[in-house]
Amino acid sequence: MGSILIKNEVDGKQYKLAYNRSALVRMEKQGFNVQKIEEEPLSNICLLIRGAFYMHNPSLSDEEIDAIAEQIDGGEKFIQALLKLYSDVLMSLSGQKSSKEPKNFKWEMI
Amino acid sequence: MGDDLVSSPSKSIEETFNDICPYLMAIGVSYDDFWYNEPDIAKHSLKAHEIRQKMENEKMWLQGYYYYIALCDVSPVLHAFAKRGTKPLDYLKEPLSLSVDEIKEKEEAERQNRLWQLREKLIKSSRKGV
Repeated sequence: MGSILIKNEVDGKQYKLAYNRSALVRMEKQGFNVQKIEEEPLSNICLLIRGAFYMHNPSLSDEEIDAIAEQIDGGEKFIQALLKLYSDVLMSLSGQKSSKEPKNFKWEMI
Repeated sequence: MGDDLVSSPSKSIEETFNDICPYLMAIGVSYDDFWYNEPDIAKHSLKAHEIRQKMENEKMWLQGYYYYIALCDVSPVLHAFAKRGTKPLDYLKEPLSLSVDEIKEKEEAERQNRLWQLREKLIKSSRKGV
């Protein structure tokens, strides 16, 4: 399963982003709905980014994650990459692969 | 297992995962691996389970085949009108070969054995001739 590595170019801090099943459930409880990401992008994208930190950065609070998220220079491709990771976990037992295959990653896949 | 376990619109993600979790735990995936570790662990465990099931099925099939051979070998004496003194056939001297290499190896050994016997016969007959 893939993951994304983000690096702060100022202080060198790195964060590995990925999802596990526990993160997906936590996101759902917070109100994340992947089908409404276009209707309600602000809240859903915020929760999508928060969820990506839960697996490998459990000590970070939501406020700290939000502060980091504000510093990510990603745009739509970053969100697409997160959506792919999210749907990979969701479909991991179905034998299907997620349909969206984003290209030209700006982030380092590890 | 498969598409039926993918979240349906009527079920929440949590409900779907809660439904799948016990099944995967039954095949050896730990609770922590399912919920907190790499999602691929459960996927690979599921595949491993399918392979194990296939192997078990083949093992049982082979065992059934051995029973069948044994029954065929002993069948002459089971015949209601079998002649007196009828004996069962000998059971297989060694297990059946399962791989192609093993079959070739066995065939080669048998060929060598036949050649050896032929050689022995020829030596004996030539001695008699002398």
